[in-house]
Amino acid sequence: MSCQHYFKKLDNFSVCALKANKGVLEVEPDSESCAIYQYVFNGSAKIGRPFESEFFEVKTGDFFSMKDYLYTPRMYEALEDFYMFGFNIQNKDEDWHGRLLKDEALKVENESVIICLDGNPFINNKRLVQFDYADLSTDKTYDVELNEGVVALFTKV
Amino acid sequence: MKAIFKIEEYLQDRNSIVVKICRLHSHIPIDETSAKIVDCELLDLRDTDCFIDSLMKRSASRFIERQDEKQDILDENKPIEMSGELDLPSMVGKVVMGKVDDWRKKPMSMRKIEL
Repeated sequence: MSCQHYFKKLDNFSVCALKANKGVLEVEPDSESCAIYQYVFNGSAKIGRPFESEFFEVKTGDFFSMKDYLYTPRMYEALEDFYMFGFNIQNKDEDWHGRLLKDEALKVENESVIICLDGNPFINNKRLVQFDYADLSTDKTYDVELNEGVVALFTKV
Repeated sequence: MKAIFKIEEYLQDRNSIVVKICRLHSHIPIDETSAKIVDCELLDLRDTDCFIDSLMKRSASRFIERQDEKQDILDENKPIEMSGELDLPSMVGKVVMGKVDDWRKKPMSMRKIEL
C-alpha cells in the first residue's frame, strides 16, 4: 500500500493531488488542509475528521466543496485505488467558487481560472491536456467544448 | 541529512526533555543552539533506537529548519525561483532552490496557457 501527495504553488492559488492505494488511511494536518474544492479522478474514499464519527464518501467524477473542512485535520480512507485533485487557497481570508464546466459559452465577472482536469477539451478551439490552466479575462467569452473532458472553473468571491 | 541532539535536562514531573538539536555538519556548536522542550508522551520510548528515531522524525527537521532560517544566506547562495517547462540550458550557472526532505510531496506538473 502506498500514498503519494503532489503539490504546486501557482501565482494566486495552489493545487494538490493525492494518490493512494486501496486501504490507505491518510491524515492531513490542519496546516495543510487548505483545499476548498476536490475532484476524484478515479476510485472512491471516505473523508472525515479524525476521531469523529461523521464522514462522507466520494467516488470517480465527484467534484465537491471542502470549505467546511478548511484548516481542520482531514482523514481519507481509500476504499479503492484512489486519485484526487485539490484546489487550494493561499490565504485564510480568501474564497473562491468552483464548478465543473459544461458545453457552454463562458463569461466571467471576477478573477477566474480554468483548469483542465481530464481528457482533451477545447476552449476557443484550443485543445487542452490534463493540468493545463489559464487565467480568464472578464472582457472575453470562451466557447467550451468538453469533448468528454473535464474542466473546472474557479472564480474569486 | 544527519542530525545530532543533546538532552540538557529530563523533566521527570512532566515526562519531557529539554533538548538541543542541530545538523551533524553544522558550523555552530550544539551548545549555542536554543533548547526546546519535547513531550516524551509524543515519542516512541520502547527502546533507544525508537526514541532517537521518533525524536528525529518529530522534531529534528523543524528545529533545523528554524535554525537555518535564522542564518543569513550568502549572497552567492541566494536562489532564483524557477518553475514551468524544463529548459536545462537556461538553468546552467543559476542557483535554484528545492526542498530536500519533503518526501511526502512531489511537484505537480501544471502548464499555464493563454486562451
